[in-house]
Amino acid sequence: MHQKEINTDMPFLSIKDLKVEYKSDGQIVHAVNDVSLQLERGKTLGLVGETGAGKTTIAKSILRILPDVGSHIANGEIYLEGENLLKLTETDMRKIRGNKVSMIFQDPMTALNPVLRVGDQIAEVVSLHSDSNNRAEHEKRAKEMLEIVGIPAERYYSYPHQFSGGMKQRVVIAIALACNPDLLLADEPTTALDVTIQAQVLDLIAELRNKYNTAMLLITHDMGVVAQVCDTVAVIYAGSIIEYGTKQQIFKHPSHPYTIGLFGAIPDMNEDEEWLHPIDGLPPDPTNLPQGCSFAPRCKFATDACRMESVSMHTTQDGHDCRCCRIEAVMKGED
Amino acid sequence: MPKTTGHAKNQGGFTAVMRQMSKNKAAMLGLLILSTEIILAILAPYIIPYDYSFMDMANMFATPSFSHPFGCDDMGRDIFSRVLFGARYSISIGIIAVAIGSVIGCTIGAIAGFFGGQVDNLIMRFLDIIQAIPGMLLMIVISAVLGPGYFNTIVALSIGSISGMARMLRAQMLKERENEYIEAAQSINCSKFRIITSHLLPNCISPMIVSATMGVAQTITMAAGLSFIGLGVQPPIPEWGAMLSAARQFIRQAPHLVYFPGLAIAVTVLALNLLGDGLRDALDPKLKN
Repeated sequence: MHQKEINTDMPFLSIKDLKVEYKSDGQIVHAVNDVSLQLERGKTLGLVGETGAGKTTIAKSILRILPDVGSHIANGEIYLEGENLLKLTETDMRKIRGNKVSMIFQDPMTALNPVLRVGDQIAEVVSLHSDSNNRAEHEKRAKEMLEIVGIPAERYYSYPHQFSGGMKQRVVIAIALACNPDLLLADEPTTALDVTIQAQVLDLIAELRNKYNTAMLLITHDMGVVAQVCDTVAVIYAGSIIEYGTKQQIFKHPSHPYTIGLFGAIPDMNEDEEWLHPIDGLPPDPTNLPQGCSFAPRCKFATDACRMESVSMHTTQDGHDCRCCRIEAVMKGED
Repeated sequence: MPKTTGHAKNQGGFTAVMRQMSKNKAAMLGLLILSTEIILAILAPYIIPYDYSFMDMANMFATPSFSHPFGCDDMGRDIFSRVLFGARYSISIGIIAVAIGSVIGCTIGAIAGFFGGQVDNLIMRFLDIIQAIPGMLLMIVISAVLGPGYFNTIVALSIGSISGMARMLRAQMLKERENEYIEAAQSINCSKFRIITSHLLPNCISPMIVSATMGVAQTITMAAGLSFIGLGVQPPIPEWGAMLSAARQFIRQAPHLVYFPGLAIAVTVLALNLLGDGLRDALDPKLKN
């Protein structure tokens, strides 16, 4: 028998020291480095970071759908309701995928199978997690889901190419929510959509989340989306969390130079700005991360100490976590 | 033609393909010829004027006439009856051999393409070895080992078509499995088997249908070739290749012995190729809507 380690005192989702590596051409890509985070039922955590920072890899590790070849979880634990997902057998994991935990994919254009009817794709997830083999029942549930996401049930028999981008994303959301998951992993659900549709989709997700008390891990690089939807925020840089706190803490008192830079890069609507203010430089090569703080090469506050040894989490004045050893200096704005 | 209302109707794949193909005259001609041939082949025992092996020595080498539309062969057998009855053998050999080859080839190709890595390497290198032998030579060898006959010919021809099919499906799979919807299928807990059969295969199947259609044409000529060199279906069964083989010694005195079975092969192959071309156009996703 499989021994389940269940600890009810733990938060709903808890990730501890997660470390994921990819192997590519004999080099090791350090995609995720010692990430720890918690999420309570019904709350939303925003994972913010630029392309390649490892956000999607974290989500895929939770579902254990990283590619078989070339990737492996080197270290860490992922507890869902006190159960370590990384230690589950494939059979037990199957009961979780799509049922307890489901994922909304980034690009609705490719996340649907082009040759299957959209309704059948929703019914598929229902049938995979249902004990009954009653097709009519699954179909009914799929039609119900279509109505919930605002698509008429008659469109059950349409193919994805007959849908617009926003409608496809709604279908992807319907698939993700069809089994009333406890945890929703939303991987940039609005990136491929234009702004008006984006607002509709976010409202839809928020509405459904409140209705079913679903916890959500929202992956995005859009600070506006974070402000609208999230309760807590984790800023990711080069595979590590560099700042972690509630939305208010992060937005009011960004403490890490990188987070400050991110906010600085957003143009101010009320001022006449000629130039944007990007953060100079590029993220480090994940096959060859710097020895010390991974942001040090781009940081104007960096000292030799920053470059020499890795930085641990510090608590800032208002009580959130920041991975920077020069918080005081940064706060005062000294160079 | 009535204007079809775009997305109000959601036809299944088959109707959509047929609608697309009905615009292509050449493909429809191919389909017409082929279906006529198949119907005639099925009904052959009831419509042929003479038994295909009935020998009428008085009519040896008779030229085409009203009583014998295609004339008679060296033993006074009615060529019209023989060509018609031979369609049963030639066409069925083509279709069955390609069907067997496709099923086996697709299974192997799907496994290689989906799992990749060492499994893929092992399977593909084995297929490389088989493909290194020229197709006709391979079939001659297999037929020679198995001996002549209807079923052995089918086996020989289907083995020959496996590697091409496997290679093609593998390439399709490699392309399709990178798509996000496969990852999405994993995330909703589809088993590997289910991902292959209900997500990947339907996306890879169009080029396979086209190549199978063309493959039938090629296999019919191959079968005729095998029969011609005496390894395929044996006389007196009126397989078209066997008829050509028997008629070749009389080609100067009675060329009509060669004309009609040869024409039958050519027309069938042409029809299949037209149909295959039409299918390729109709199944091309870029032309959809």
